[in-house]
This record gives sequence, C-alpha cells and structure tokens, in this order.
Amino acid sequence: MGLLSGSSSFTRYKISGPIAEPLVETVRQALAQNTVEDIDNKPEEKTLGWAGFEKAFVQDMTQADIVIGPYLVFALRMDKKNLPAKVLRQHAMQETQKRLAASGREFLSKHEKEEVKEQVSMRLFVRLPPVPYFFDVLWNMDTGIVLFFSTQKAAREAFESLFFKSFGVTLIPLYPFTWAQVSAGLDEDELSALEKLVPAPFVE
Amino acid sequence: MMDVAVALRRYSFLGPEFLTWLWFVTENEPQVIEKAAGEPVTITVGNRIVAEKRRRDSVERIAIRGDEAQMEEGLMALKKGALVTDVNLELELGDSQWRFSIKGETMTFSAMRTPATGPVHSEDEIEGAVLEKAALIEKPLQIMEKIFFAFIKARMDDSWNNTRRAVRKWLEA
Repeated sequence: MGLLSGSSSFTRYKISGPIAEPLVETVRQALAQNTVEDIDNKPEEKTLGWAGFEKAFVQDMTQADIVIGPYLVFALRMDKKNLPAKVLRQHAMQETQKRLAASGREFLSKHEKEEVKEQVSMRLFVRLPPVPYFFDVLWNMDTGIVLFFSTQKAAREAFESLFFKSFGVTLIPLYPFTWAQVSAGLDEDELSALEKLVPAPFVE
Repeated sequence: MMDVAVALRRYSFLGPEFLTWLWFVTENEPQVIEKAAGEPVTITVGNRIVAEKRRRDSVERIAIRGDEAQMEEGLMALKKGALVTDVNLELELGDSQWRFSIKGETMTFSAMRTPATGPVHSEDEIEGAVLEKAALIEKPLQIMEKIFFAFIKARMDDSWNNTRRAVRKWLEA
C-alpha cells in the first residue's frame, strides 16, 4: 500500500515549523542518526527507525538516496516480533506451575501473574526474529506537506513521535479543522469564525 | 494553537458535514465542484458509503456497497439525520480517472487508484516512477483541497442555512 503501489492509503501532515538549513543535509543526518537498532537475540519486542525508500536495508543514506525532484522520499521501518498469544499462554502456564510447585502455594497473586507474563515474553522475544514493516514517506519540500503511507493508528503515532524526535518539529495532521486552519489562507476574522463553528444538522 | 486531539474531537462534525454536502453537490450542483476546483472536474459517489447517526451515547451506523438502488438506503439514512462518514469517490479530469475513499473524521485517503503508470523494471527507473506517481497522487488532493476550502467558506457564511434547506429538500424529494 506504499507510494508506488497500485492502491495507496495515506495520512497527510503539515510541518509545523522551520527545519535548520540546508534542509536536505539536516534531514539526511537526522535520518542516519535514527535508523533501526538491531534487536535480534534481544528481549525487546519492537524497534523503530528510518530507512531508505526502496533501499530498505541501507543504513547510511546519501542525499541522492532521499531527494527526488522537489520531494524527500524515505520510509519508516518498524521491526516487530510477533509472539502468538497461544504460545505466550502455554509458556506462562508452565512457568506458573513451576513457581507454584516450588512455593507450595495454590495461586499466584495478580502482580506475580503479570511478572510471569513479562518474564516469559522477554525470554521468548530473545528467540524470535523481528519482522520488518515499511511505511513510505513523501515530503514535498515546496509545500511542507508530508504524506505518510498508512492510516493505521499505531503506525501514525510511531511516525509522529519519531519525526519529532528526529527533526525537532511536530507534524500537524490535516484533519478537517486543522486542514482549514493551516492551509485555507483564512484571515483572522475567518479563523475566529471557524473556531466558533458548531454542528448544524441538515435534518432537524 | 488548539491541541490537535482537542480540535479533532470538538470539530468531528466538520468532515461528515463536508462529505454529506459533497454528495449533495455531486448530485444537484456539479457546477459548484467545477467552480471550486477551477478545472472541468467531475466527482461522483462510487460504490461505497458509510453513514452514521450519533446520539448522546450510541452510534447508528449503516454501510452501503453497490448499485444505485442500494444508495437509496444511504439517502434514507441521511433523511433520518445521519451524516456521511466515509465515502468512495470517482474523480474525472479529462481522460484521467482516480478512485479513492475519504474518511470524514480524519480526512485520510485510502485505496487511492490513480491513472495507470508504467511498470518499474530497474532501479534507474524508480526516480521517474516516483515523480510520476507523486504528481498523480497530489493532483486529486489539490482538487479536493479547493473543494473542501470552498465548503469551509460556505459553511461560515450567513447563507449556509439556505444550503441546509436545499439539502433537506433533496433528501425529502
């Protein structure tokens, strides 16, 4: 469902403030400083970072890798270990039995059950390979509009937070109100009228 | 500037009101679309509409897929006070055609099909493909932006009550 797919889905953003010039080099460095950390054989469940567009596993991007005409093009990479719920339940049950046998008790407290689940998850995460997911990013340098090729809430939130961490500016999602507010060229009176709008049903 | 999450909640009616108005103008006043876009563009409702009627603590939702007869069900829902929350649209400009869905609450675009582009065979062709595809994605966004801003200006105008009356008349016809 990415930029070059036959069918694409995306969320639109406007960059809220200036980014240090020269823009392309600032972006290149920020992308390079925030690539994905390797979580193979580690207890982490997921990791986030930037990747090259159509060059997913290239860590050291050059300016030529990210600039196409007036656009900056790259991807958000999310590596995630998918632990099936049944597997977790089975291992947690075995660990619970072990603890009960060792302590001679009949039940574990709520807190102990949570602890077992967490420890078992971490142990299993070490053995699971992460699955990489990629979401394309198309940043129009002329308009400051960024398209993020996903509409999933978790992916959008991850993108917004990594963008802020990397570039120090927030992204304004172009929802109906914000779209009108930041892009419609409204004057002060109109902005004030926009803020005062309340629902006006077509049918009473 | 207002917090984005607060703005999203407080003005969650704007997107559905826009999509409902858009359905009305595509059926009754297509010239409004052409004038707003500044180009001979045609927009028609595609094969899917979701309408919702919100009450204080519940949401009545109807999803319609398919032909014109079933779209009548959508109109019935609007007549009972529902608003369009998600719609599939077809946009035509000259010989080019786009299809996409818009979600009213967040204005996210999904399942966008642009006019066909050539296949990419090698890495050397990626740059050209990105430029072509980016332009094909941005074009309907620019058009939808102009139409949305025309709606916003009309919505803030004193004459909006006339538009509401016209929509009601359409629904009652």
